[in-house]
Amino acid sequence: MKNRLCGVVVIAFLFSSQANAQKIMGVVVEKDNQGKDQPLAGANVYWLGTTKGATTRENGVFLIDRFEGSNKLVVSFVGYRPDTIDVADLTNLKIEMKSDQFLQEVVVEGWKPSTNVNLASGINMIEMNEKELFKAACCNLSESFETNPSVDVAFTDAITGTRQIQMLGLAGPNTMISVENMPGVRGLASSQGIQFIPGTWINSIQVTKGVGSVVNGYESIAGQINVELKKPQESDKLFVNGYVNQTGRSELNVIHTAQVSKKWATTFLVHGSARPIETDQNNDSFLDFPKGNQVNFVNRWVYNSNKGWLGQFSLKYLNDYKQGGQTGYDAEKDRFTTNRYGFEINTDRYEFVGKLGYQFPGKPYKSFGLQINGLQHTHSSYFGFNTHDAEEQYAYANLIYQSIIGSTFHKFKTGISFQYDNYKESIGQPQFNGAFFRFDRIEQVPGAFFEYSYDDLKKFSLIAGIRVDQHNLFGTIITPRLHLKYNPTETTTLRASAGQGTRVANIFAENSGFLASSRRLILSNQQTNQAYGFKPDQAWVYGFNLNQEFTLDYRPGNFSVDYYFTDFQNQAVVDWDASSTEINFYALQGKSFSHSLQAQVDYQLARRFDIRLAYRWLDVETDYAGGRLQRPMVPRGRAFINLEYKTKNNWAFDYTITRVGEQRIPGTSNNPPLRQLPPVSDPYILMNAQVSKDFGTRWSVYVGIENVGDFKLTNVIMSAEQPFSPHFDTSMVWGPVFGRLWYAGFRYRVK
Amino acid sequence: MKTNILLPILISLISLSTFAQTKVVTASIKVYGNCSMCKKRIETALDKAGIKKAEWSPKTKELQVVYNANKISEKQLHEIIASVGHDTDLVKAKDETYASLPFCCLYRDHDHKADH
Repeated sequence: MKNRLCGVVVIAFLFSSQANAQKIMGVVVEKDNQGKDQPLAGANVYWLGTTKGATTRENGVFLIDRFEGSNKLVVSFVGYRPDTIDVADLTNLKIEMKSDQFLQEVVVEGWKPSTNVNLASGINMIEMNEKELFKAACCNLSESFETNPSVDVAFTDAITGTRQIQMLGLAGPNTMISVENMPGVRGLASSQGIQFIPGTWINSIQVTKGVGSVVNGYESIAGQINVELKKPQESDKLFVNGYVNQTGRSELNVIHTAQVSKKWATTFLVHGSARPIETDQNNDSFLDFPKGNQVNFVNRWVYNSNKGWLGQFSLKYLNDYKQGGQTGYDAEKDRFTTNRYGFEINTDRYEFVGKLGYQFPGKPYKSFGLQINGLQHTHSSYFGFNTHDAEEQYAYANLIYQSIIGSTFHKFKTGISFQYDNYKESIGQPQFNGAFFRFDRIEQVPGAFFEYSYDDLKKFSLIAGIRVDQHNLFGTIITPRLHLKYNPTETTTLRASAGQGTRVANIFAENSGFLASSRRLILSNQQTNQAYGFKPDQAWVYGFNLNQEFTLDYRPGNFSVDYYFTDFQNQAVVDWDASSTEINFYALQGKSFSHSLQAQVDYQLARRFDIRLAYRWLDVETDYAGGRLQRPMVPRGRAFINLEYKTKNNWAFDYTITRVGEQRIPGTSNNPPLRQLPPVSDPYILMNAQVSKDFGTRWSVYVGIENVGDFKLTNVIMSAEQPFSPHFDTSMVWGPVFGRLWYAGFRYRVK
Repeated sequence: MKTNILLPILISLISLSTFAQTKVVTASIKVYGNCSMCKKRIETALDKAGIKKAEWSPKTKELQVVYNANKISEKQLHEIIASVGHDTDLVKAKDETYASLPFCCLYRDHDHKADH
């Protein structure tokens, strides 16, 4: 008996529970092919020799009145052997039904997640799950960081709608964006790529500030963002999401998962979106967003032999088309003319991703994994008369072996990798008999890495890694990285990291904003004959982080503060300042660095009411040809508030307020007086609001407003009325070009 | 009766200075259940005025609850829990309520009937 307490009260309660003693309750189950009990609904339960009975419910449960004439209960179900039970003194039953057919041996092990290269907890990593991502329901990876104060998203120009993330005040490509720990948004995709991952495909995002693990390559400098897509073993059977906003942007996402056999499962992820309507809210005669459409498709397969072998592969295809510029631009008639200014960007991408892993039986710490990736990326674009065409063929293989040294306190990962990257790129004004340049290169980089980790499972952990890569164009790249974690108390975590990151900057793809301007391209102070003439960007990054959990008035909270210092040894400097009619690229001479200091508090103000407050201060400076300056278009300060309230009946309200501080605007002093901009932008406030409601377990509906305060830049395009004049420039963007925007959508899921 | 007018004022003054009126109690209650669905059901049921915190662990079956004893009694907590289908050592859920719980939440010991 569970009733141990006594007293008048208890007796009264006992009485109420005894009132049902004339009933028998039971649950009817069957074993599924993984050996787990599953309820059997609709089974018939009746007293032997009578018609007195009941049917089991959805959950397999039946309730039946005791019957004086019999103690024998019959349970039957079509396709199963009937069962007769003597229930003399039983009141709670569990009946397992067996199929009529001879069952094959059951497989005991369930589907396991694939052998992801796990970033150990020693690294300062923020996990954003599906719930967090749902706070900003629109639309792709570039919009997923609205509730994350560590990642900024900035527009590269006023007409293409291209967004780039910033971490530690450093432009997007300094952050390595991986998809399931495989190279993701890089190379030619680094400018447009974050818009190629639909938000509803994402299962979770891990954000790491500073250098990451050496296992995944040498490229991360400012941080690492890893995106986990929905997987066959975890996703819903069917997921449908539709979205539309006031500019006519509409999206449809469908995710379908099927268990094909005991060992194979597959998921299809399909995305289609379109923005068919011209929108010019700030009346500068230029579309605020390009028109266009995107088709995006992934089919992934997972294999589990249940004997240690795990495998998965994905096929991906993407086509993205954008067209914009002046209102009424007709590409067929106006292309390469001065009738109207316009641009088109067309991206075509095929990709294959494969992973194979083997877990040694009985040794969960010992495994090896092979990751391979191959892709073909074609990018063709023009902006006015500026043409930029590029093609990339990429192949990557990474073999990882992990095991322990003596005990599981000491672990290591080691392996070899190979990267092949073939770029064919041309830029210039071929239609106009202007300058035209070709930049082709083939990178072949074999590498090897070793990473040791120690974890005493209580207070201290350490990850020390080194990798050596032999770059065919740039020589040997040595990448050391170290992460330390210490827990002085159960609620306090101190972390420190130091390490080096290296990457070959794709200077055109990463700074595509200048193409949509009349700025002349000038490359100078070149160091090599390879690539664009510059050695890879290389930086040391140091970070410190304190995290303190607390409880205030019985509710949980979290406080964290972190500081990161990035010190570039080499950099292809992008200089917008030397002249307002030029863009200069040259090798760094002197210093280039970034200091980032951020404090954040998360607290539950009341039950179901969460608040997140954050403030970040940045100092990002570079020695330009004209002297040391703050990096342009990087806000010095950013304050952030996120409020989230949920009701008991599944309404959710989300409100985010961001105050973006002053940003330095590149010098325009050599422009005519009317075409000059202030040296520093005004601070501004952006607010986003969203309401969502779940109906049952399948439907949820959301409505939101972006930029509630309707703050927008009105004459952000320089010489908008004369787009073919030498002062035309769309890249001087330090805020949104579009004001208040409402959107609505639904999600439907079948588990 | 009029002599009593001072008393409530006095009490409220005292309570303002000492917070005697908010008698916050922390309790641990054994609640039977299985899984994360149970956790959600139990915690949502206890999402009521007067209850500051309710956290149930599927592992230990212990419910950590912080409540204002002037607004709600421990007995009422047990009744709320039972009313959504979960037994405590004080109050049993009604069979009919229990029988409609989802399959994974069927926590009661069902006597295992060996198959043929």
